[in-house]
Formats: sequence, C-alpha cells, structure tokens
Amino acid sequence: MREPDFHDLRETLLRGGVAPKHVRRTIAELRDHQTDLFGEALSRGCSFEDAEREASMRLGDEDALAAVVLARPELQSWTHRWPWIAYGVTPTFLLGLAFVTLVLLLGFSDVVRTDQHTFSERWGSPESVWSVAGAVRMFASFGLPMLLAATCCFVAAQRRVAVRWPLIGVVIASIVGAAVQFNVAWPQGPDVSGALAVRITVPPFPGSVGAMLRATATCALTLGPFLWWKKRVARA
Amino acid sequence: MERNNSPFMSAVPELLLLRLLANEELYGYEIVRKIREATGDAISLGEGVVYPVLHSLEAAGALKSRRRVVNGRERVYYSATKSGRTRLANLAAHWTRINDGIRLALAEMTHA
Repeated sequence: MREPDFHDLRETLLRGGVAPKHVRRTIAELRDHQTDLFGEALSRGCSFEDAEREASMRLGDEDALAAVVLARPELQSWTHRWPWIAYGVTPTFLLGLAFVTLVLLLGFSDVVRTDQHTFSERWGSPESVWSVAGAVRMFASFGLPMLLAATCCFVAAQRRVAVRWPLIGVVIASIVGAAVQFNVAWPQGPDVSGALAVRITVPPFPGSVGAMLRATATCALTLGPFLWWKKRVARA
Repeated sequence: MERNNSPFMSAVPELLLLRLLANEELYGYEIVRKIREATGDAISLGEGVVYPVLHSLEAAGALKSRRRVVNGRERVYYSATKSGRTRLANLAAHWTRINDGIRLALAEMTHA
C-alpha cells in the first residue's frame, strides 16, 4: 500500500490551531488504521487497488476528519488560544527571567568577588579571563534576545501561525534585549573586586548606537530566515 | 446509514467509546470494529472520527493511553479511567432518560 502522508490534513489542522502533538498523533493513528483496513480488505480477497480505495473510503475523507478535529477546542494549542501571551508576554518574561538568573549566578558564584590572584588561578591567563567576560556580555546582550526571537519564529513556523505574531515576539525580544545593557567587570587586583552592572535604557536608545544595531540585527537574523521559509512553503 | 453531525448526536461516539473502554483496553481499529459489531452496523462513523474523540476524552482525564508493540507494530491502547467510568454512568443515565422520553412520545402519537 502506498503510505498515505495526510499532508493536506496536517496543514489544515496546524493552521486551525490544533496543537502539533495532537496533529502528529492523530496522523500516526490514522496511518495505522488505514494500514489495518487495507490488510482487512486484502484478506477478504480484494485486489490491491480495491483494498486501497476501500481503506481510504472507510477512514473518511480528509475534509470531514479535519472538521471533526477542529470542532474540538480542547485539542487546540494554548499559543493559538492566547497568542498575545505566547508571543507578547512570554518573550518579555523569559528574557527578564534569564537576565535575573544570569546576574544571580554570577553574583553568587564568587567569581567577581575573588581577587585577581585567585581569579587567575581559577580561570587561567588574563587573556582568557577577558574572553570569558566578553563571552558573558555577548551572550547576555545578543545571544539571549536572539535565542528567544528565534524560538518565537520556530514556534510560529511549527504551528503555521500568521506572520504578525512572531513579528510581535521578535520585535519585543529585540527591543527588551537591546534595552538591557549588561556589563561584567572582573577583579582588577588583590583589593579591587569586580562588579556586575545592569543598565536599562529606553528605546529609541539615545546615544547608544550599539543597542540600536543589536535590536536591528536580532530582528534581521531571525525574521529574515523565517520569512524566507514562509515564502518557500507558500510556493511549494 | 446517513451520517448525522447534529449536536444531539455528538455525544453518541463519546458514550460508545466510554462503554467499550470501561472494561477492556483497545486500540483505534479494534474500537471501531467493536462499535460496528455492538450496534449491528446501525451506527457507522467515518472510522477516522474516533481519534479526535479519543484524544479529547484523554485530555479530559476520562481515558488513559499507553503504547504497546504488538506483532512488530506500535499501537496506542486506550482504557477508561475512574473518572471516565463516572462520566459513562452520567451519560448513560442521560441517554436512558432521552430514550424513555422518545418512546413515550412515539407511543402517544400512535394512540392519538
């Protein structure tokens, strides 16, 4: 039997807001069911083609199946039911939580409080220390917003969501990410402790070209591939 | 049989599924086959229609499922939970009342 792919059904369900896990499961079970129906028809002496036709007919046409699934709101994903929370509130909350976690981790890890001597023993040469500091700063100000914006696009792509929602999520992640400026000053000597500094600026970030650039880059690097993918899928 | 999607009939698949799964663990294809046998083909659903109903009942806590490999194929087996059996009792009582009401009404119409 030709393996049915239920492509149209999958697309209809995802566009209708059904949670991807329910879509995957429904299609896997329908596929199994169709195989059973096909086997049953063959065992009754039907020809290969007749068995295939009968199996499809008994399973029901894809429009009818889609209508039954879409009529059940309990199978819809929460991101479809509350897109403002999914793409508006969640990125802001997660980004804030990530910043707070990072500050607490660094603050309590004793790294910035140790003097240069013990710090170098732990981290190696001063060069590697500065590269660790740079990496942390880079991760906080660019990596985290980028990760979150990319997640918004991925979730939206997986759920075939209208472009406006990931757009909102990406813009929020980019702006919040750029608004928070994270600085780590490592210990400079035996009596000079390091410091963590978190500064929040308000868009349009006066005097901070870096923040503007970061926000623009985050938008471009996440929305660009997402829109390209959407266009490609629409053409296919 | 003509398919009927009216709200009145929408609880029928749920009732039948809960009744079947109250005492045994079955997978989708077996469930549909047993429904056909149990109702003497009086209720014929597009067979794929059972899956959304099964998933909804599971989401509501009325059913539980587990994967089992049988003859080299992985299948999802469903069975009723305690809450599912309570739901079945309520649904069955509801349908019995409706059935009694319709029988009475039909009997009155015959006498009139």
